[in-house]
Amino acid sequence: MDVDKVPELEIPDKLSTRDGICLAGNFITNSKLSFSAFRNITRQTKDVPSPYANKEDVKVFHLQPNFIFDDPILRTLIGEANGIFVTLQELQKDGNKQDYVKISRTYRSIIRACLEKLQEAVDTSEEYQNFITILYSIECIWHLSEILFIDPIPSNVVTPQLLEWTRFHFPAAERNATDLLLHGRDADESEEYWPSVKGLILQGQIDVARAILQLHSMSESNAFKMAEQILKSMPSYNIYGGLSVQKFRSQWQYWLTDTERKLSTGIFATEPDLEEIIYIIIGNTQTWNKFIKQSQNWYELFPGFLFFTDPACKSFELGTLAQCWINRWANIKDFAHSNFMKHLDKVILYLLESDIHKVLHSIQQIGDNQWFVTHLTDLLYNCGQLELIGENKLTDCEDFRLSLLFDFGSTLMARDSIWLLGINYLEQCGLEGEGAVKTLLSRIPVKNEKQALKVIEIAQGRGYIEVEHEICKIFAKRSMALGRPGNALDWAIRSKDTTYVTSITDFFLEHYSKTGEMLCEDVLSNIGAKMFVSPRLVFLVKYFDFYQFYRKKDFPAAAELLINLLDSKITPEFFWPSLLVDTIPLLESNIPQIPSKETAIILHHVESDLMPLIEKKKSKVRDNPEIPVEVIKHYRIENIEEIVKLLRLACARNISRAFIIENTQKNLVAC
Amino acid sequence: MEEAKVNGFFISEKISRIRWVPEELKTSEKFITGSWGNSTNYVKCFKLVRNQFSEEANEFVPKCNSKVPFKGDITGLEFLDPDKIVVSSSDGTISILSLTRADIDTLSVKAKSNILHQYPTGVEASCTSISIFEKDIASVGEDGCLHVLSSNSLTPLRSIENADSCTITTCSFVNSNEILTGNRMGGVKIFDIRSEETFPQNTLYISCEDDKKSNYVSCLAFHPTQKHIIFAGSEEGSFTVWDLRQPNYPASYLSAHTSAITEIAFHKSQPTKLFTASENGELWQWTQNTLLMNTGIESQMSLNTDSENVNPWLNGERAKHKINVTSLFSGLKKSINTFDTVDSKIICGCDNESVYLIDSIL
Repeated sequence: MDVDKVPELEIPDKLSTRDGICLAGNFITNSKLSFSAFRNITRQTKDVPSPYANKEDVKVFHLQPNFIFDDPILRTLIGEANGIFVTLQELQKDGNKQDYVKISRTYRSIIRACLEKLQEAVDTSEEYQNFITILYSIECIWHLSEILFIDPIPSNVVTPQLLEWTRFHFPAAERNATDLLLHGRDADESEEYWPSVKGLILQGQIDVARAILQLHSMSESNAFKMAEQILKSMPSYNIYGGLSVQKFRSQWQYWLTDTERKLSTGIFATEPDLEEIIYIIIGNTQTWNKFIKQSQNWYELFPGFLFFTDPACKSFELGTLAQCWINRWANIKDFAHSNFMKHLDKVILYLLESDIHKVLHSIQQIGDNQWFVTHLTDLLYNCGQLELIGENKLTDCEDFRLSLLFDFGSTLMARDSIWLLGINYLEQCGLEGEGAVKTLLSRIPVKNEKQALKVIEIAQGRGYIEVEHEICKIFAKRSMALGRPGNALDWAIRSKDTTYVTSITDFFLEHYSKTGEMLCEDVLSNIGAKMFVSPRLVFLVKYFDFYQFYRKKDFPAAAELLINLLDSKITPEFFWPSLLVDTIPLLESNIPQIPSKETAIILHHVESDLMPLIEKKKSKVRDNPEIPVEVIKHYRIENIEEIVKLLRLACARNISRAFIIENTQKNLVAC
Repeated sequence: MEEAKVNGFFISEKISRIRWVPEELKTSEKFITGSWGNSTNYVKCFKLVRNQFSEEANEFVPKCNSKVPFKGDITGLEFLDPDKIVVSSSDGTISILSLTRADIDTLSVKAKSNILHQYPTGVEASCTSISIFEKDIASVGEDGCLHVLSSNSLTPLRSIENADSCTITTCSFVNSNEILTGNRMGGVKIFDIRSEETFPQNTLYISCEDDKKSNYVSCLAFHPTQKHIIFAGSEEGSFTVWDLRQPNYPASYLSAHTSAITEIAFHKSQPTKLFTASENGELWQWTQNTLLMNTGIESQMSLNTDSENVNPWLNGERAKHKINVTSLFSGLKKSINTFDTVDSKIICGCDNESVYLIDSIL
């Protein structure tokens, strides 16, 4: 029974069926497998091409479980569960039992709501029937886990809760009972009358059954009165009733003997159905065997049987009792072979045996992308049950929970539209989880800037600065490629990556020196303090300021800024010609703008920066004469000599003029 | 004030825009949502129906009556008139949907524009925001373009191709001629669409705590009765207020949330109430303090200001004393992307794939 059925899948690969070739597989991620044809090569293998080379296609197959949560109805399960999950983590293992029971019920209520929606829509899709089966077993298992582990009754008496559980999962009898009660008197005309009453009795719903018996047209007869009295006097075990188990057992024994005596008087001979009911409640073997034959699942009648035969049994006895019951059930149902137990049947047995290890192992096989096992394990862990159950070590339990959370979180984060929810799971996984979030966040396929800003917001909120920078870089590059340099510059500044900023700044400067047109002025004028991320950007912004002053004809300010720029040591080499040419109009202006000392500086830069650059370009031209080399806008290398000449001349003229003015002024002051 | 009631409903989509359906004589029970981040996004029409199962927890549940698929994210959704909805999408287009009212309302596409926003390389760019003034629609996009379209033909009446070198994140009509645009660098530009100029009339910059940090303009709004007072929410969670009559300096700067403000809006019928929603899941209500006016010195002061007719939002630092802030909703931890008010109800759309109905806010 422990050997589970291994699922089989057929991979249609022709090549792997050939002689000497097999399929080889590898895990790509935890939920993704890759297969391809493989030929084993050993020392003895001759080094010749494979006979199938170039003849047959080599295929690589990727296998992964279906992701069921893309369906809009099931999607609520993910969304809502995520909210509950987060609330649960906030309790930090410090909540009281009531909190955890409430959380467990909330989880169950979303499963229930989802089931209802699926049932409404079952006609629209064939898959829904499948989902209903999955969710139904999840709900059933969760409910039982809640009874046994999350909300255990003090003193471990579980029968009433188990009865409630069967009532919930086999609601037919209760539903019929409601109809009958609504029907009022003479309910026994209905065909469903006796089956319903018996169903109720089998589920231990004595009070409801009594009410319905009262509705029988013969309810005034002796047999009915007697039955009523027997049912009424049936002792029920209640831990709050103040009775010790021994006392209760003797009471029960007394009532049983009394009932058997009453039966033997033959008072029920006229009412065989009523007689059968009495046989049920005294646990008559033949009667129960008859109902076992009609039952569908082994656990259907089990709680009822406990109620009538061993109502004070403790939860730790359930395993043995269940095992005995299964043997009896299988014998009567004539299941010769051992695999009559379906998946759900087994999980329920493991639960009753309190073998949480096996439970968790089995529920991992449910095709729900590990939704159930992850959330249940986490809940059990949080309410301190995971470490108590089974003989597993504490650390094993923690590791198990973390690995589930990690896998589930990664699965969600790998999906386009629900990555946001995956983060919450990964965040619980310590350093490893944090690393995964960082790695995955920067790989989320972001389609537009709004989405990018969203991811950045999330990264910022968690202090993952690298992620933010990574995304900014991607968008800087993207904007560049899409022809939006201004936008790219802002993204690059955000990325704080000096190299990136520098290279985009160079694009601006090069564009200017080639065309004389300043790009994206609105962006440049608004960089402000953010410019300090790169010296090149500082240069660009300052140069832009100069450009503005010049355009506004504020020449003194422009001249001062220009000299500062020349002497700033952050001028890129390629920009020297442009920068120096800009000095010409200031040097040559009617009103002198540049004093002698500064003119000397200009001259110095002409000789020490511009001339070497020209030499370099010239040698380039010599090496590749066919490639035209431009030094600055419209000036080809051939006529650069003229410009240098002009520059030198302008400097000479200005310096002489400046000398005269400066010295005259001094003299004036001296006088 | 009555305690606000919050009801949440999971609807399996991250919501980027939500709007109540305008009703003439009664409180609206229907709302329209737009989603983002899916391979197919939907504009859906919901109706609040009475919950038949529950006793008290959720009195109403939203039921989706009709939906229209879109390829891109829904970035903007506004009512043109009570039966027509303008929707912008991240594929660079604008559509007009018509809402046919019946027992079960239906949405249908009435018109769809060509791709309005595209990069110089020809790749389509996201249309990031729309604003409506009477029959005109303004749209802005990641390509930095500003278009004004007529709602009849969905063709541009006026286009400013290079309105911004940076992505424009949001826009808003001030009056029939002037449009505000906010960009990713924190600039708010005012364009006059009558003039031939492609330059903005004026550029305002939002304030920021740390001027080395990037701070984009996330949303724009203006005062419902004094339209020269404009509000710009930002990435850092603060908002800046200007008086357009004296636009050179911000009138107030209020730090509010700790993450980006996603939407800022006044209550539709009560101009004393402002609401802000944030990326970290907070929804705040800002109420002008009317109680103070009747007490002691305060009343003197407020009488003075009253006589000067100064709007409390323009009071700079002192604004904080004249405005009460209450948190309507918090602790969500995921973004509240959008909200809309009607009477005493607010509906908000969030990133945890749910909408929240907040009742009795007044």
